[in-house]
Amino acid sequence: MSARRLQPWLFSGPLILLVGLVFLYPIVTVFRYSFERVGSGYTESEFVGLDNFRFVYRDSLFRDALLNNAQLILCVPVLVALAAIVSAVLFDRIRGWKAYRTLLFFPYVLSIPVVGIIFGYVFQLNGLFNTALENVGLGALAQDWLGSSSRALWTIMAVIIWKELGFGIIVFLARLMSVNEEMFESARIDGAGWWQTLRYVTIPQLMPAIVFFAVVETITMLSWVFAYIYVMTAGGPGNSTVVSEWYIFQWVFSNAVIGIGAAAAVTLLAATSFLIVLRVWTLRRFDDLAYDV
Amino acid sequence: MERRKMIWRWLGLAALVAVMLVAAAACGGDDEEAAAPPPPADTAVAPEPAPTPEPAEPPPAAPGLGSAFDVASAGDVTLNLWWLGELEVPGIEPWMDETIAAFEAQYPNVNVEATLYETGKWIQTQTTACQSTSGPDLWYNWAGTWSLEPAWKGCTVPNEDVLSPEDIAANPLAQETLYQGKTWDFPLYQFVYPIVYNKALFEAAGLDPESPPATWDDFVAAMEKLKASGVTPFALGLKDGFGAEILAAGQLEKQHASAPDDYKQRVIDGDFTAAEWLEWLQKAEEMLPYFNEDANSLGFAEGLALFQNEKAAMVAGAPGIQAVIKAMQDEGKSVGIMKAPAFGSGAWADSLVHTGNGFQVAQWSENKEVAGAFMAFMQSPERLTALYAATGNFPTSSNWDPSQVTSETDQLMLQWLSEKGDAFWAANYTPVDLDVNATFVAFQKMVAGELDAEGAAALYQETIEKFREANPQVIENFAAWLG
Repeated sequence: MSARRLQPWLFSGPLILLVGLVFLYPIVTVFRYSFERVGSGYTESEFVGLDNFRFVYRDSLFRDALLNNAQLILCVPVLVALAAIVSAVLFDRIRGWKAYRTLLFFPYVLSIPVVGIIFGYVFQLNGLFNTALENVGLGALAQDWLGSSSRALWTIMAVIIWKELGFGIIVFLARLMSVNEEMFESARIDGAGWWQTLRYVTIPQLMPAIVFFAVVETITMLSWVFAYIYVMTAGGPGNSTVVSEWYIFQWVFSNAVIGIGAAAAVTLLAATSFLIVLRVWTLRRFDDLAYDV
Repeated sequence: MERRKMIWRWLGLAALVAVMLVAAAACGGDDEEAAAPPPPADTAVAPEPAPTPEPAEPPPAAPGLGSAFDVASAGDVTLNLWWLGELEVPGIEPWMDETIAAFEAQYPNVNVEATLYETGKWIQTQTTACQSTSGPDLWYNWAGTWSLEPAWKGCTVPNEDVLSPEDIAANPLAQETLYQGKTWDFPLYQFVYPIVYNKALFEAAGLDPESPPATWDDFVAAMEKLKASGVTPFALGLKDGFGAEILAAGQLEKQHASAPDDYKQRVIDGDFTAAEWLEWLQKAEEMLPYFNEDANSLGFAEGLALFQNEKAAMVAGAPGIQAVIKAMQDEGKSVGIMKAPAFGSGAWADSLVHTGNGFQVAQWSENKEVAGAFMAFMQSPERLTALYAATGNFPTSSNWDPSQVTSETDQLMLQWLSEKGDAFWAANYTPVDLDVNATFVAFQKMVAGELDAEGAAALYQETIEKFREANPQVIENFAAWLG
C-alpha cells in the first residue's frame, strides 16, 4: 500500500480504535455472555449454547415486555401527526410563534427522572390531575392512572408523547425552514387552503424529517424508555409496564444472571439494528422523493 | 478498478477491526483469567452440597485478627469502605465520621475513605465490582443471601479470616450468614420489624390503645372498627414493591417457619402452592379492604408518610422505624408497637422479626486484616453506645450495653427478642427474583383486584420454577447452605 493510500488510515485509525473499544468490544462481550452462564471475576463461566435464548423466548414476561414495547410504538404515529400539525402552524409565523416553539421544546430538555417523578405525583390516585378533574366537576373521570394495570402504560405513553413532541416539532420546523418559500407561495397563488398546503406541500417536503423522526422515536420506544419505567412505575403494577430494557436490567442487576440478560439484550439489539438499517434505507429513498416533488 | 479499490478498503477496515478486537481482548483480559486470588477452597464456589451441619455457635477463627490485630504494624494503609449511610439508617453518617476519626487518631498509619452509594443500585455496584475483581476493602451488606451471593462468587472472605474468635462470638447474628462452617457478614446494627400503631386513632375508633389485638380475628375486627371511624386502618405503599416485601417478610411469611432452613428448602424444591404458604397469602387477602385505596400509586415512603401524618392507624415497620417512632413521639404523637397476631404453627409465628446488617471484607483487598480490625473497632462498647444514641438502631454485638435504652417501645422490642427468640427476615433466605417478580407483583395485583390468594401462590410457584431453571448454581448453593 502506497504512503498516500495509507495516510487516511493513519489519521482515522486512532478514532476507529477508540470507537471500537467503546462500542464494539462491549457488544462483542454481550454476544459472548449471551452464550454463557457467566461467572464472577473468581469463578468460571460456562458455555451453555442457546440455553439463555431458549429461556428468554419461553419466558412469558419477556413476551409481555416486547408487547409493551410494541404498545409504546403506538406513540410514534401520534407524535408524528402532532409534530407535523404543530410545526405547520408555527411555520405560518403565528403571533408569538418563537415563544410557542420554545415552550413546546422545553419538556424535551428536562431530564427524564425529573419528568417521571413529577408525573408520578401528578397521576397518583389522590394526585394533582385527579384533584383538578374533581375541581372542574369531572371527578367521575378520575382514575388510578399509574396504580392500575390496565392504565399505567397508557399513562406513561401520554407522558412520553408530552416530552418527545418538542423534538419532533424542532426537527420538522428546521426542515420546513430549509424548503424554498416559493413552493408555499405557488400553492397560495394556486388557491390552496391551509389543509391542502399541508397535504400537498408541507407533508411531502417533511418526508425525510418524518422518516428520520419516526425511526428515531421507534428506536426510542424499543430501547430508550427505561428511565420512564424505572421512575414512574418500576415495571408495575403487577409487571404491567415491564419493557425489554427493564427485563434486561432485572436479570443482570437484580438477579445477577448476566447470560439471560445478555440474550435478551442481543435480541433487542437485533431489533434496533434492523430499524437503523431501515432508517438509512428510507432516508435515502425519501430524501430523493422530497426533492422530486 | 473502482470495485477493487472498494474491496481493498473493506479488507483494510476488517483487518483493523480484527486487530483492534484482539488488542481489546488482550488488554481487557478474560474475566476468568483475572490475576486475582482464588476463592477459599471451602467457599461456595465448590458446587457440591456441604455436609457441614450448622453449629449453634460460629466456629473459632485464627488468633491475632480483628480487635487483636496490630494495626500499627501494617504500614501506611488506605482503607476504602463502600456503604449506604443514611439511606439505610438515619443519623449514622456523623457516627461513621466520628468512628473513622477515632480509628485514624488511634492508628495514624491508616486512612479510611468511606464512599456512599445508592440503595437501588447497590446490587449493581457489587456485581460490577465482583466482575472486575476490584473495589473497596470492605462494603456494607445485608444478611443472608445478600451477603452470600458475593461470597458464592468468591468476592468476599469469611469473618474467620479477618476477625478474632472473640469478635465473632460476641456477635450472634453473624449466624445469619453461616455457610459451610464460616460466617460471611459481620453485622453492626439490627433492623426490627414491628407493626406500629397510632394510639389516638385506636382510641378514637373505640379500641384499647394499650392492648392491641392479640388474635388474627381481633386484628381484622380492629381494622374494621378503624375503617368505620373514617381512618385508613393500614398504610401501604406498593409502587416500588417494598411495602409488599416489608409486610410479607416482616409479619406474614414467618408464620409457619421455625428456622431459616424452612425458607431455603422451599426455594430448593418446595411447593409455594402448599397450604402453609397459601395461608399467609389468604391472610394478606383479608387485609385488602383495609389498605389505603391508592396503595398501588404510592411508594413505600409515601405509604409510611400516611401513618406519620395520622391519616392511617397502622403501618408495617421497616428499616429506620425506631427513628420514625422517636420523631412522632417528639411531635407529641402517641405510638405503640405490636406484632401481626400469630396464626401459623411455626416457632417464629409470635416472634419479632429482626436481622443484622454489617460489613464484608473483599477478596481483592490487600488490607484484609486492617479492614477486619476496623470492623472490630466499630463494635467497641463506646462506639456501640454512640451508635444507638445517634440512630436508635440496636447494635447486634453483645459488647453493647442495652441499659441505655429508655424508650418504652424499644424496651418492649428488646423484651420480645429476648423472650421469643430469633425470627429472621424471610427475604434474606429467598432469591431477590422471588421478591421482585412474586411478592411485589402478587400484592400489586391483589390490591388491584386482579389476583386472589390462590393465584398469588401460583405466581410464586411459577417464579421459583423459572428461577430454578435459570440459576441451577444458586439452587446448588442454597442446598449447600442448608444446615
